[in-house]
Amino acid sequence: MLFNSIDFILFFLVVTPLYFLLPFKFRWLMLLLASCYFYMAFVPIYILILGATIVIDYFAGIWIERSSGRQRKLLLVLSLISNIGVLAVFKYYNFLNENFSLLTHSLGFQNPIPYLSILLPIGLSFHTFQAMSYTIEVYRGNQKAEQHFGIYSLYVMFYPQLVAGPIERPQNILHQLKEEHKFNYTNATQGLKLMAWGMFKKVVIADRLATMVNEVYDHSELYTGIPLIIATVFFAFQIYCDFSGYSDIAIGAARVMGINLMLNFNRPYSALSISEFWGKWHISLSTWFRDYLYIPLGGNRVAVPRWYFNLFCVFLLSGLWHGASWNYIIWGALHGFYLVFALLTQKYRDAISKAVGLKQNALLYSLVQRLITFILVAFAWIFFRAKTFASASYIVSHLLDFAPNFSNFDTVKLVYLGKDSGTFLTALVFIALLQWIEKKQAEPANVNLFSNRSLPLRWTFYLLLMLSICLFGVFHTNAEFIYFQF
Amino acid sequence: MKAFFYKLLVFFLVLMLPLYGLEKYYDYYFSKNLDSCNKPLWVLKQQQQHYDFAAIGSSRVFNMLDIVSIEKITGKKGINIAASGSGYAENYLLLKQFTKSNTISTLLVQVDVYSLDAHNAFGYPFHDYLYLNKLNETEVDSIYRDNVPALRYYSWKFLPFTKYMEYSNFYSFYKVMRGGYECSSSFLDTTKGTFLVDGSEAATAEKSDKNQQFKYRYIDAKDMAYLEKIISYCRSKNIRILFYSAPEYAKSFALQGNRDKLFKEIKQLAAKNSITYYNFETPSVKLCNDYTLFKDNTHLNIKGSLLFSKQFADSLKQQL
Repeated sequence: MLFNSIDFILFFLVVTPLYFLLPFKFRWLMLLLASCYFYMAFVPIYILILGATIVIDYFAGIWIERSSGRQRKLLLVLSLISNIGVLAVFKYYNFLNENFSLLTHSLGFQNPIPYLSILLPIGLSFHTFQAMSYTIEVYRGNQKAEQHFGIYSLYVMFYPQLVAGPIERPQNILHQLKEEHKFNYTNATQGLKLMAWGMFKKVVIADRLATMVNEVYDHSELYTGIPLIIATVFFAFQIYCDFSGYSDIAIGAARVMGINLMLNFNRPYSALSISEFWGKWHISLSTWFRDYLYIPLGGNRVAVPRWYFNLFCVFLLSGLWHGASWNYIIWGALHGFYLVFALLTQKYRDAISKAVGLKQNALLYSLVQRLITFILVAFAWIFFRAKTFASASYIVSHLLDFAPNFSNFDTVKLVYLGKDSGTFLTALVFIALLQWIEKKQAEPANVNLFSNRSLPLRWTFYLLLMLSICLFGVFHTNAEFIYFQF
Repeated sequence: MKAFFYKLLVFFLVLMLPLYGLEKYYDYYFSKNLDSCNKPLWVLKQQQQHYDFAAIGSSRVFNMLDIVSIEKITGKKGINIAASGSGYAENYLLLKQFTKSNTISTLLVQVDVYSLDAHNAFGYPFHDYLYLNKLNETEVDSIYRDNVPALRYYSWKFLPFTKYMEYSNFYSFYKVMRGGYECSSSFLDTTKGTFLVDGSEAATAEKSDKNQQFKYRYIDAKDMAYLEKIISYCRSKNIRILFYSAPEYAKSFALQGNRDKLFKEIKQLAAKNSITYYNFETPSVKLCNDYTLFKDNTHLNIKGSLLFSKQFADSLKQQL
């Protein structure tokens, strides 16, 4: 079930009041059934895969807690293998087999391993990682094994974050699922406001930008230079609004019920460096990789070359987490490279900034840093968005080709990315509005920017927000959220 | 909690007011500003005319029946009111809307295994986004109720503006602001509603011996019911009906399971209602055996369409 659908609005309008109206002891059951229904609205049969991993991890958690020494470790490894195994079969099998075929073909013989004709279950990487964090935390002794099967199932299946995160930690959410949440006016209004803002980002900005980005990226060979740059910048905002919009709706829907999910985005395009960007973008995933991969590998408390290896390795795997394709791997590798390169050149960059007097002007310095960070991030998005490696290579090699192609001169195509000027300019206005609102929200003085105003002013703002969603939202494509495929 | 829900309800009602106003304005605006380049909307735009004949059906009429050729041979005035990928439900709606302000003497209805199994043959047999501004008309409403999933139908009907939200690309706010469509005049005016298309996919298929997959075809009860509604509506309006089946590439006949049975039913329906039936979709019709006349298995190309239209016009001479 998509958050941007009438079905979800009805689902939410039924589930939320029911949650508060039911006696406490039945709430978990109602939420679990509702989450099953939510998940089964996509491809019903895949609930069996989810169910199987839930059963394995539930018992693994209990047995890990009861055991010690090598047996404890063995149980953790078995649980992780079963989770990664599901990912490997459904997400990476065909990709690995395809590459194996290329290898065997180049060696002169045929690959005997058959391809699997399977669909990737929605949100598989999200709930698998959430389940893995549970068994790891139980193993580490940071979390008690959950004895209530229903509550554990709800931890994995809680509908707001089931298909696209935030990837929660058991310490944050398990106890909340067991607590009785009384209706709270502030939580309810904050949750609804967050949901409306998330919806605005998704349907008004992301899906509007998508119509233009798709036009260019699906026919990239028709474009050079400026349209490719504009489409890439637009995609940077599209994916941000798409994914952070989803997170806002998820966090908001949970908050209405009194459940707090972790923050997933914190104005990532305001980052002054790539490392800061990763502290603000998809926070639940980057902290997952930090806690369960980067630190166990030794983090930065190792020899410098090993540190760089750890960083690069984490980002390579982060790329692979997003999808079974070389483009995602290159995207992850690029970010790993950016980070290692930044560390290697830190001294020289500081010296240059000092020499040209950039450091004396703090505002200009931060602007330049922001711009460079954004350009690097946007450049990497090319590999994330392009359908094939060949298409990404074409875009990269023609990005700075500004010679107009007069044989194919079409103002609409070249300037407005295949759409009318109204769509194009509205998209620009909404991007500017988004940046302004998020900047204002981030300032401590503006935390209660609207909630402290008079009722007519607040309602006018909320009504305008809702009317913008109705008037400028793109609903007809029934667009899925980009991160669902992961 | 009560106070919260009370406030939420008030907010919802306040929000509904501008949305209701917007919906009414859009209803009015899009009934006055029809896109002449969109075939069904072009049909709705025709006013105060009398036609000796009109042809209805799917793309096998819209792209294959050249009205100008038929007019030349028969000396009668005609119009093509068919729409691509439309089933009989949409045909019925278009016919009723068209005859509100126009008159027809004879209606040529294209009957085949595709139109009678529209939900399987066409991706989108009822173009529900086109007639949203007419949803308050009883007869349009009943067709929508029949052809649109219940949740969508009731939200469009009772939640103001949701119908236009869902198709915001088609009913764009900019179109309203800018004042209408860029397509002010239409080639359809000169072709009388026909759009012939060229192509040689059938030839390619013939050479590479790659044809469509074998499929069983069935008559969908809903499509049949709408065809019968078209018949009874024409009866009530004193419009004479003629059935015809447009040519199809003969090799594809073998790819249609149940074909003979379905055509038998079509003939029975025609006989039961005393309707003359012209079947150009048999191997005995020369056109069907020449792949160079086809764009693809089910559509004639320009050359084929002109030939067919002349042949059909010769048969129609006595009837019109």
